[in-house]
Amino acid sequence: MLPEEIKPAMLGAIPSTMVTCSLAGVPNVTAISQVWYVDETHVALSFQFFSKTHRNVRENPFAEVIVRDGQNFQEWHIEIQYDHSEESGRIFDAMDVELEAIASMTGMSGIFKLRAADIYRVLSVRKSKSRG
Amino acid sequence: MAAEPAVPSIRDQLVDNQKIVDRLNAELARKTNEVRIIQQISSEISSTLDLDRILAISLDAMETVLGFRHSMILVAGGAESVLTVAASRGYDGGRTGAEIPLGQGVLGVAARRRRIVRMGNVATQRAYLAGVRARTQAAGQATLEPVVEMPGLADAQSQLAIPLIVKDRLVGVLGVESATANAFDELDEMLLSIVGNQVATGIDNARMHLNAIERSRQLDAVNAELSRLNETLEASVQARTAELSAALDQVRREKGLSETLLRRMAPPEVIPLMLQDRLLAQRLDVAVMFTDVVDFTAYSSGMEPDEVFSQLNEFFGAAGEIIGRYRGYINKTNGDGIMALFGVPFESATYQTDAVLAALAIQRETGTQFPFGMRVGINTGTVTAGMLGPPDKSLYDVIGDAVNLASRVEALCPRGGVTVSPSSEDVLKPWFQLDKLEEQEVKGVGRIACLNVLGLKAIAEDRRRVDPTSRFAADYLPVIKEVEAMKRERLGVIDFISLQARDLALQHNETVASYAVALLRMLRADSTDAERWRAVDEGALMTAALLHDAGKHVIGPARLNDRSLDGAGRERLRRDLLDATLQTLGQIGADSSAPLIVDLYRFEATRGAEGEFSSAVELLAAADIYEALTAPKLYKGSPWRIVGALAELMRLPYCQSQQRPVFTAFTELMKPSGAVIAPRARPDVLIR
Repeated sequence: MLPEEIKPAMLGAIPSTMVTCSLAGVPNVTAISQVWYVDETHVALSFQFFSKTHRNVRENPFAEVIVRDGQNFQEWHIEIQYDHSEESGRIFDAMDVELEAIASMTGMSGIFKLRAADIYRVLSVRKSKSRG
Repeated sequence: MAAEPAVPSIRDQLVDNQKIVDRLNAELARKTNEVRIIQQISSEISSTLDLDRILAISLDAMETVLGFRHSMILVAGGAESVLTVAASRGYDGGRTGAEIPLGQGVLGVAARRRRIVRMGNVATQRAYLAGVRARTQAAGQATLEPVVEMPGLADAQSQLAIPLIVKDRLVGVLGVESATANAFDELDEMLLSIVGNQVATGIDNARMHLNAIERSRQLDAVNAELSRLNETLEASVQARTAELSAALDQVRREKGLSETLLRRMAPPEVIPLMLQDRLLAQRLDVAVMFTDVVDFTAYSSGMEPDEVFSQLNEFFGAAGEIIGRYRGYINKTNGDGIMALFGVPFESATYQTDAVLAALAIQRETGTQFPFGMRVGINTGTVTAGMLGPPDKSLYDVIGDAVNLASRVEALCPRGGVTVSPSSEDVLKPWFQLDKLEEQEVKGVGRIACLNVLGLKAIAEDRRRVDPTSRFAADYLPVIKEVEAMKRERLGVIDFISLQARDLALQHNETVASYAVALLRMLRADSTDAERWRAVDEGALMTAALLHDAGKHVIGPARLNDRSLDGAGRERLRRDLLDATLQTLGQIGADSSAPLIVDLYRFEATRGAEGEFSSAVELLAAADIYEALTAPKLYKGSPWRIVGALAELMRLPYCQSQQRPVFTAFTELMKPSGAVIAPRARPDVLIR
C-alpha cells in the first residue's frame, strides 16, 4: 500500500505530524520526530513518554500521520490503526539505536529511552493536494 | 473519441523496461567498480603492518574512489571506554586525537552496540531533541547531562558508522558523514561494512605486531635485568666461594697439622681405626730394621748443637723418604738411630725384599754423609703390633724377640754394610748377592750366622735365567754391562730400582734389554739376511726395553700383584699399564719409544695371534716373554726351567702360524748347549 516513492518522507528529515482522537472525541495534534517505514502495510512510531497521543491511541486506535519528503517537501497523509507494541526485534533495535545516538549527543541519554516500537497498520495513503 | 487507454501502450512499457534495465546496469557498473576497488584496498591493507599506513590507505580510497568526503577511523582504547580518532579525511586541520566516549553519538553507539548505524536526519533529530531538552530544563524535570561536542561536521545530517570487530573484540569504529540528508543508502552501508572488515583486521594485525614488538622489548629488558642479576649473583657467589675456600684452606691446614701430629703416633693407614679406638693389637710377620751412625757421638762432639741437629734431621728426612718408598714405617728414632718396620700395619708379601732394598738405598744415598759410615741390620719374624703406652702418650709399636734380634744384627754389621739375620736367607737368595758371616754368639739367641747383603744379583750369575753353557753366556754377557752404561748415560734421571722394586721384577728391564740386544747382534752376525737386522736401531730397542713397563710405579704393587684378576681385569690392567707407561714416557721425554712399546703390548695381549709385527717388536717380545717366564718370582709359582720357557715361547700362536726366525734364533741364543727345543707344533701330525 505504501509506495516506494514515500520512503524519503519517512527518513525523519522533517518532523512529522500526528493526529489522534480521544474516546470522547477530543482531537490532538502533535509533532513527532519520525514515522518509520516497516513494510508496505505497516509503519512504526516510537513510544518514549506517556503522552496524550499515547493515551488517545490506546483508547482509540485510529490516527493519521502527515509525513514530508525532505527533498521536495511533498506531504503524504497516512491513515493508520494501532496494532501492537514491540519491545525487541529488528524494528525496535533500529529505532532504539538511532534514538540513543541522538539522545547521547544532546545529553539526554537518561531521558530519551525507547520504551516500545508501536506498530500501526496502514489504512490508506494519499498525497497532499498542496505542497506544504 | 478515443478512449483513454486502459493499459500502458507497448511503447510506454518498452520505455519503462529500458529505464529499469539502464538503472540496473548503472547500479551493476557501480557495484562492480566498487567491489574491484575494495579488493584492491583489502590487498593493500593486508600487506602492511603499519597502522598509520593502513588507515591512510583506507580513508584515501574511501574519498577518491567511493566518494565519501568526510570520514574518520576511531580506535578503541584498551579499556574500550573511549574511542580516539586515529585518522580522518575532509576536516580542516584533521581530527586526529579527538575522543568520543563509548556510547555517545552515532559513532559511539555503533561501537558500544557493535552494530552498523546509518542515519540521514541527524541534525534534524538533534534540533528536535534540543527543543525537548530546552523544555525539560525549563520545567526542571530532570538533571540533564551536558551536551557532548562531537568531532565531526557540526551540521551533519547523514552519518554511517561501522563498528570494527575482530573475533568479538571491538577494535574501533569507521564513520562517514555528510551535511546532506539521507546521503547514504544500503549499498553504501554494505560497501563500508566490507571496508570496515578489512580495516578492523588490519588494525588488529598491526596492534598484535606492535604488541609483539613491545613484548619483545619487555623481554629484552627482562633479559637484561636477569643478566645483570646473574652478574651480581656471580659476584656474590665468587665472594662466598672465596670465603668458603678460605675457610676450607683453614680447615685443611688444621687437618694437615693434626694429621702430622697423628702420623707421629702411628702409620697413616691405621689412623682412622686408631681414632675410633678400633685398632686392635695383632700378630704380623715383619722385617725390623735398625740403623746406626758409626761413632756419631765422637764425630759430632766438636760440632755446634744446632749443626748436630740440623745434620741429623736432614738424614732422618732422607732416610724417611727412602723407607717410605719401600712401604716401610719409621717406628722411632733413638739418638742418631732409626727403628723402621716393614710389613706394618697390614700384612705385606714383600716386606723382606722391601727392607733389604731400603737398606741398600739408605747406605747408597745417605751413608756417605757420615765420615765413619753407617750400619744397617735387619731381622724378620713375628711380632705383636698395636698402640702401646699410657693413654695420653701411646704410640704404634711392636714387641717381640724379632725386635731385639734386629738390634743385635745391626751391631754385627760392618760399617757401610747391610746385614740380615738368617731368617730370610731363602727369600733373599734369588735376588741378592749374599755373603755369609761367621757364626757368632748373640745374647738370648745363641750362635747364628748372619749374612751381608752385597747387592742385587747380576743376571749372569742367575742360573735360572741364563744357562752357563748357552751362547748368551758364552758370547754376550758384556751386553749386560753395555746396557747398564747406556741406562746411566741416557736414562740416568730414572730411579729404576724404585720402579722395579714395586713389582719385584728385579732387573727385569735391564735383562730384557740385554737379551734383545744380544739377539739382534747374533742375528746380524749369523744371518744371511743381514740387511733386515741392520735396519733395526739398537739404541731404540734398548730404550724401549728399559722403559716398556715404566708405568708400573703409577699402577702400584697391590694391583700388579693381584692374583684374583679375571681375564677382563687382566686386560684392563694391561691397558692401564700401557697408558701409564706412555704417560711416563711423555714425562721423561722418551716419546719416540712409544710406537714400539704400543706394538709390544698389542703382541703380548694377543700372543701374536693377530697380524704381523716388525722385527724390533719380535725381538722385544721374545726377550720380554722369556724373561717373564724365567725371572725369580715370589708369588707366581716356580720359575720355568730354561728349556721349558723356550718351548713355551715356540708355542705362541705367532710362532705356530709360520717360521719366525727371531724366535728360533732366541732359542738358539738361550738354550743350554746340546739341548733340543721342540720345533713348532705341527697340527697336521695330530690329524694324521
